[in-house]
Formats: sequence, C-alpha cells, structure tokens
Amino acid sequence: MSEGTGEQECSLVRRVAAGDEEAFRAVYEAHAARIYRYALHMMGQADRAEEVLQETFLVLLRQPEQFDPQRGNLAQFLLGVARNQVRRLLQEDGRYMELPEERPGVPPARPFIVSATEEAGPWAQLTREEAVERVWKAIRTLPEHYREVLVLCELEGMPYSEVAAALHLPVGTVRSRLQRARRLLTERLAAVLHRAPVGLSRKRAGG
Amino acid sequence: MRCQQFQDVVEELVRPGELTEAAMAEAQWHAAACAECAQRLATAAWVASSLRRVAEQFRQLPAPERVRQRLTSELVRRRAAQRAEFRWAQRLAVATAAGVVVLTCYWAATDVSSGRRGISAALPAVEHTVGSAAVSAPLVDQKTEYPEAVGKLTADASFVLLPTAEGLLPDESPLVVRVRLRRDALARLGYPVRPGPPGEFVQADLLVGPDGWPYAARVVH
Repeated sequence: MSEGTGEQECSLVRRVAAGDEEAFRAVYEAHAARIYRYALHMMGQADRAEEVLQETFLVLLRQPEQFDPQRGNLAQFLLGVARNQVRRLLQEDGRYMELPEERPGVPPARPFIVSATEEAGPWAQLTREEAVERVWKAIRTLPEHYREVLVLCELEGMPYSEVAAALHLPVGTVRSRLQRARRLLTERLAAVLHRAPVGLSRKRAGG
Repeated sequence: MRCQQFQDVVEELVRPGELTEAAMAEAQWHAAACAECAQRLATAAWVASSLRRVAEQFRQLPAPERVRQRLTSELVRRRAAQRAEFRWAQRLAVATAAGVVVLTCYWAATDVSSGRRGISAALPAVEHTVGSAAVSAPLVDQKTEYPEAVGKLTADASFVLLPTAEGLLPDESPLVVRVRLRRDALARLGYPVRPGPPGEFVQADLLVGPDGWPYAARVVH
C-alpha cells in the first residue's frame, strides 16, 4: 500500500475519531456494505449482521489507534475487526466449529463421492431463487474457516492476496482453504440434491 | 488423469482462469471418458453458477440505514463529550494559574525568606488581596528623583517609596497587595508610621515589584 494512501486513511480515521461527520460518512459509504454482506453470509441472520457492522465501526470510533496503515489498508482493518466480532458471536451462540485438522492427531476426513443414476441433474428442477437459497444455506453449514474464505473470494470477489492480508494468512493457505471449501460445499449440495441414500451409490474417493 | 486427480481440479475447472490450458484440456478429456467424473463436473458447474448468482443478488444489498444513524448519533455524542472535557481542562488550567498568582503574592507579602533589608521573616500571615495598581506613570529612578517619585507613583500620591525601592527599574504595572500587619513590622519596612502601640495591627497596601518585594506602601484607613 502506498504511503500516500496510508496517510490519507490515517487522516480520515483521525477525523472520524474527532467527530467529523463528513469523514465518517465517507468511511461508512466506502466500507459498510461489504462488512454487512460478509457478516450476513457468516451469521445468516440480518440482526446479527447489523450487530457485527455496528460493533466494527464502534471500534473505529472508540479505538482509532488500532488502525495501523503499516499492517494493511482500512478495508482490511475493518474486515479483521468484523471477523473478530463474527467469531465472538458465533462462539456465544455455540456455533463456532474448529476445523478437524486443527485438532492434533485427527486426520482430515476423506470426502464421499455421491454418484447419481439420473442423467439429468436434479438441480434442473429448482428455480433460480430456490437454487440461490439452497446454496446460501449450504454455505452457512461450512466450518467458519472455510466459510469466510469462500465468502470473501467467491461472493465478494476479493483477490487471494487481499483476502490473505485481511485474514493474516499466507496466500497458499487461502487457496487451499478455498479449494476445500468449494469441494465441501459441492458435496453437501450434491448430497441434498440427490437425496441420498435411495438410488445412489457411495464410495470413498480414490478411484 | 485419474478420477482422484480430476476431483482435485474439478472446482477450478469450472472457474475460468484458474487452471492452465494444458490442465484444462486433460481434465476435460477425462470427463468425456468417465461418466462419474462427468457428473462431478456438472455438479461443480452448477454450484459455481449458483454462487455467482448469490454474489450478484447480495451485491445489491446496502448497509442498513439505521446502523448508520446509530453510529452517527454515537459520533455526535462523543464529540460533545470531548468538547466538554476540553472546556473543563481549560477552566482547571485557569484556576490553577490564578492559584499560583495568589500564592506568589502571598509569599511576596509575607516574605518567609531572610536576607532582604529590614524585612523580617516573623511577619505574621496576613490577609491580603490582589489587584492591579492604577498607576498613571512608571516609577523613576529614585536615586536622582526620590522626592518627586512619590508624586509620580499614583494619581493620588498616597504611596510612600520604601528603601527597598532603591535601584528598582521602572515598573509599568506594579502589583498591589493589601495586607494587615503589625505597626512595628511596617516601620521595619521603612514606612514612616505614626506613633502608636507597636503590636497594633494596621492595614496597608503594598506595591510589589517583579522580584516579589514591596517597594512602596500606604496605610489604608
């Protein structure tokens, strides 16, 4: 990030902390929608997403010194704060799930492959709205670490480098998590769409 | 390419630009030859397409207006609180400065240090007030104009120069301190007191110089 942009953002944050409504409006209009969408995808509920959005910007108002342009731009900072808020709320709700590989000694689960006997895909019978709703619900069943990279890369269209900076992860980790997230999502949707186990065969991957 | 390898790349295959031309060609050739992998490809393509639709649908979603209003209210409240705190700090600074001035004058009037001619550290703590002298003309060097200096000190010429005024530089704005002290203490300052009981208290105005010592006095009746 250029020094000029960093200084501009620092100046903007200082003005917001000093109570400059115009500066706050500029920051809100530039970043709030993305933060809200991210929170909505992660939490699945509008009221919880609003809470995340509000708490994120309150951090900016009350603790502006936490923004360090050396560590990333303002968008990445706000996303990081929102991420912490999401995690906090998910933990409060008891919905935070750690990845299996985060538990020592537990190997990652090998995916099942569902094969259908029908030639035409069952998704052909869904309307566009139904398809969107099913996919969106399926996203929320993913573990949080997979869900967030899928949301940021696939739904928000952020490049790998930006997602990596926002989540403080190597780019390679973002890629691998995204790959796993996509596969997991496809498998879960395929299982629902094919209505396992009737008429279906299941076998372990590796064939 | 084997099925496991195809499965590893199928998600990238349905997203343009994520695989090299060669990898794409190999994967597509495998899908053409394997019914199971062809099914996987179709499913992955549908999911990718649906994800794009989800993204399009949600991209139109604005941030809630009520959150912006709540945050703006908080911003205004914090700004008002910061200003109130600043005004309080200003008042505290002014009060502190005033206190320092009073204490300085009190010290100058009571003179707790020794060494200056005729002023005793035993002067009692006295009531005092602070004001600015209505001096119409600056002091003059009394070595040459001592008899005339009295008349030039104040408009009513009521102040009497004390011996401690010797060598004093002209003072444009001397400080007046009203004190209550013993008659004999006033006499020790060099003021020509009228005869009376030495322990009797009298009220006097002292002109105090920048060094904190009185250089002129008048009895207040």
